[in-house]
Amino acid sequence: MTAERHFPRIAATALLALLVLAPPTRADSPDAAIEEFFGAYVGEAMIEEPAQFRDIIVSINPIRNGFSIYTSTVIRTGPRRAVKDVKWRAETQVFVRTGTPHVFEPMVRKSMFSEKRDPDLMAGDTLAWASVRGRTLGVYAMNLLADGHYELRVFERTLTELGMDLSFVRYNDGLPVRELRGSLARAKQDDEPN
Amino acid sequence: MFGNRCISRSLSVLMGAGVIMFSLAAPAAAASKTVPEDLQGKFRGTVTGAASEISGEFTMILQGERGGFTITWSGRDRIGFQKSPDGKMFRSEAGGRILDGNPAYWARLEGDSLIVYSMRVGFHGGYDIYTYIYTPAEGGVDMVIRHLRSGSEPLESKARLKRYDR
Repeated sequence: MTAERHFPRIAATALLALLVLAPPTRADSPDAAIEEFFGAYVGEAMIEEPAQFRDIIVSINPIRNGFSIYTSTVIRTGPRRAVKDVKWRAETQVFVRTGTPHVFEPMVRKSMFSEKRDPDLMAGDTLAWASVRGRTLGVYAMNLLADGHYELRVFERTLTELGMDLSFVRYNDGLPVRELRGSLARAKQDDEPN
Repeated sequence: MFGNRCISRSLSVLMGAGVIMFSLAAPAAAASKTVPEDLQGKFRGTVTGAASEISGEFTMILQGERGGFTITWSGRDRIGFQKSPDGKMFRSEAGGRILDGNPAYWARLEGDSLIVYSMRVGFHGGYDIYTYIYTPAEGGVDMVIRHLRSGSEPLESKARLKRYDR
């Protein structure tokens, strides 16, 4: 009888505790700090049509007032790596903070021969930027083609329990024309001697 | 002899003037054809669809101008467009630095349609791109709005905008 009388109060307390302690959903989650992305990630990604497999290593590191992303990609057409047509590419992108919260712009190296200028989208320059929204680090690049069509490349890296999910979409005038999705694990530094 | 030379020189001057007048008039005539007449004027209608930020009553005023056009959307500032030097698209000088949140506008013609773009880096640094497609239709224009933005599937809305200036 006593237990029955107390049950609603216990249930309500348990529910309240669940609500308070439960991790927030993604929509409610606050923006991750850029520092949360720092580290190395190893994994794979796939383009469905035509089928392409990619081995990917990402390393995100702090720089003064921003961050760098190194991406190494092995492009395969089948499950094996050691085949004749295997391709590889690597690139490093460097972004610094802008005056707008969450928004980063490509770092432009100063030259004694030229002044820093903003990219002119209308003149054919690539407009690139990066931002952190929720648990996602987005890197964007946009171009206007000479005939007025636009091309937008969206590279998003979302933090997960394992490491991060990758998503790349290239839009041509608003229509997705190429998509890649993948999953990477956060890798630990191996300090053991060979 | 002297008279013939004088007449010949006068003819050359007249022909030269004609060539200059023609070369000046030709771009103006081309400019007046930049946007189809059927798309110029005042239009209004009701927008329905998934691009929910633009819905309900909508007006569009489009005026052709030398070398370009201006467009005014419901309750918003007039935006001016000028043809690019190669004539393949229209650009707007409106706005400022895009990464500070200022919008960029451009447009192009495709067949009978005018396609107007608006792009901005939105809140949280995401992309936010609207595409307005205007095609002449009976009694007005058909408008299709496509909205592409971070974290969302592409959205689309439509309207038949009726002409109300004639």
